[in-house]
Amino acid sequence: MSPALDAAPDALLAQRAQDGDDRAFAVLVRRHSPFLVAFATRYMRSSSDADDVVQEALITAWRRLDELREPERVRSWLATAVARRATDVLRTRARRDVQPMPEVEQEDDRSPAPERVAEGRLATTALREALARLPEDQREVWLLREMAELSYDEIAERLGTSPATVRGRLSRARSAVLAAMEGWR
Amino acid sequence: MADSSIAADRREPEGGATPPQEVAERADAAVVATPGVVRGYRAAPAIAGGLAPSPVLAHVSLVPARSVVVSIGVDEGADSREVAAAVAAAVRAAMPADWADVRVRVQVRRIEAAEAAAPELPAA
Amino acid sequence: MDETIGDSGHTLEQLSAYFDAGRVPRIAAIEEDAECRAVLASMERLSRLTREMTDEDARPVDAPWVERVLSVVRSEVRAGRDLPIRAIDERTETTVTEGALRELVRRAGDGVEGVLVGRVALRLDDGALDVRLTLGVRFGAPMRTRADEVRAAVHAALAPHTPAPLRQVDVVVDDVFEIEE
Repeated sequence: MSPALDAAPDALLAQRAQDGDDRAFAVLVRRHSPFLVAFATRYMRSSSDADDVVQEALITAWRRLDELREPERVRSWLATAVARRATDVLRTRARRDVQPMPEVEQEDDRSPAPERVAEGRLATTALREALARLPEDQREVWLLREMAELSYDEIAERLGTSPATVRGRLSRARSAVLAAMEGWR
Repeated sequence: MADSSIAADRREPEGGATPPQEVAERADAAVVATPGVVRGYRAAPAIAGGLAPSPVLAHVSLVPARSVVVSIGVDEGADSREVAAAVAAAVRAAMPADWADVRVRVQVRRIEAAEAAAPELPAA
Repeated sequence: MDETIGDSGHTLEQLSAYFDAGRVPRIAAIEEDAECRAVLASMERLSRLTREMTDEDARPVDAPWVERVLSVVRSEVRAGRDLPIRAIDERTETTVTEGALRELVRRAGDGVEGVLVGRVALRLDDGALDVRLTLGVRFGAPMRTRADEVRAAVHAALAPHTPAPLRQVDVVVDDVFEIEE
C-alpha cells in the first residue's frame, strides 16, 4: 500500500495541488484550517468574520496556486492569503462604520477549553493581553512573524513597507511584550 | 464567444435555423451514449471565479466560426484517443443539417479510475 | 531603543533580527554575553508561547465547513493546457488536458508501494511526450527499485491515453518522509 495522502508532507501536497490535484488541496485545507481560523481571529481581533475570511482566502489560494514559490511553506503562504483577505474586510468595515475601530476590545470571545493546564493558560492569557495592547502596526507585524512565520521581506511586501521598518516594528513589539510578560520570563 | 444559453436567449429566427441550445443538447446526448465515456463536463472556456449555471454541458459558439466543444471523462480502461474520436463522430452525426459545417472539438478532461466515480467522503 | 545590551555592543533591534535569522551566522559578541543570551532565551520563550496560544485557539473545523470550500475548488478544475491528440479533419479535433494526464500519472505512481507522486511535468515536442515526475518515498523503502516500478507503472498507464508516443519518463526522488502508522 502507498502511504495515504493524509500522511504526506506539505511540500508534496502543495506540488500536487499546483498540478490540479483537488484531493491534495483538500488534505491541506483540513490540516491547516484550524490554524488559519485561529490566525484570522487573532489578526482581526474577532472571530465573527474569521470563518468567512478563511474560506474565501482558501478559494482564492486555489486559483492562485501558480504563485506559490516554496511548496514546503504552504502554511505561511495560506496565512498570507488570509491576512490579505482580512485586511480587505477590515478596510471595508472601517469605511462603512462611523465609529473608529476600538483600540482594545473584547478580546477572546472563544471560551477556553476546561482541561487546559492552568499554568499554561495563565501564560498564554497574559500573552493575548500583551498583544491586544500593542499599537496596531506592531501587533500586525508580530502576528505575521510569530504566528504566520513570514520573513521580513514577505511581511514588508504584504504591508507595502520596507524590511527595515518591519525589523524596527517587530523589535519594539518584542520589547513591549517582553516587558508586559516580565513575570513570565 | 457566446455561451450556448446566452446565445439561445437572443437567437434570431433565420429561416428555421436550429438554435444553439438545441445543438448543445444534441451534442450532450451524443456524448453520454458513446461507450468509454464515464461522464460529461461543462465545456465552458476557463473563467476564473466560477461558471454561470447552465442546463447543458456542451459549449456552442457562433463566432468566429460556429463550433461545438464537448468535454469528457474517459474510463481509464478504455483508449481515450479512440473514445475521443468516437465522440467526435457521434457529435458530428447528431448535428442538424443546417449545422453541418460546425467545428467540433472533443476535450478529454479526465481519465477516470473506477473508484473515482464515487464521491469523496468528507473526513470527520 | 539604541541602547546596547550588556557588553555586546548590539541593540535590541539587532538582537531581534539575529534571533529571526536563526542565530546564524553566529555573532560571538552576542553569544558570549550573558545578558544577550537571556534576552534571546526570552524571545525563544515568546515564540514557544505563541505556538501554545495558537494551539489553544485552534478549533477543528467541521465537515460541512470544509465541504463548502472544496465544492468550489472541485468546480474550478485546474486542467492545464489542452494537448492535441488528433486533427481528424480540418473541422474536427480531439485534445486531452494536461490535468487528465497528470492525474493518471499520479494514480499510477501512487499505486507503487511506499511512494507518493509529487509534481508531474509534461513536455510535448517533436511529436513525442516526455514525462518528468518527483516522488516522495517512505523512509526505508528501496529508492531505486521504487523509482523503476513507478517508471514502469507510468508507462503502462499512459500507453492507451498518451496524445503522442511516450519517449521518456524521468523519475526524481526529492523527498523521503516518515509515516506514523
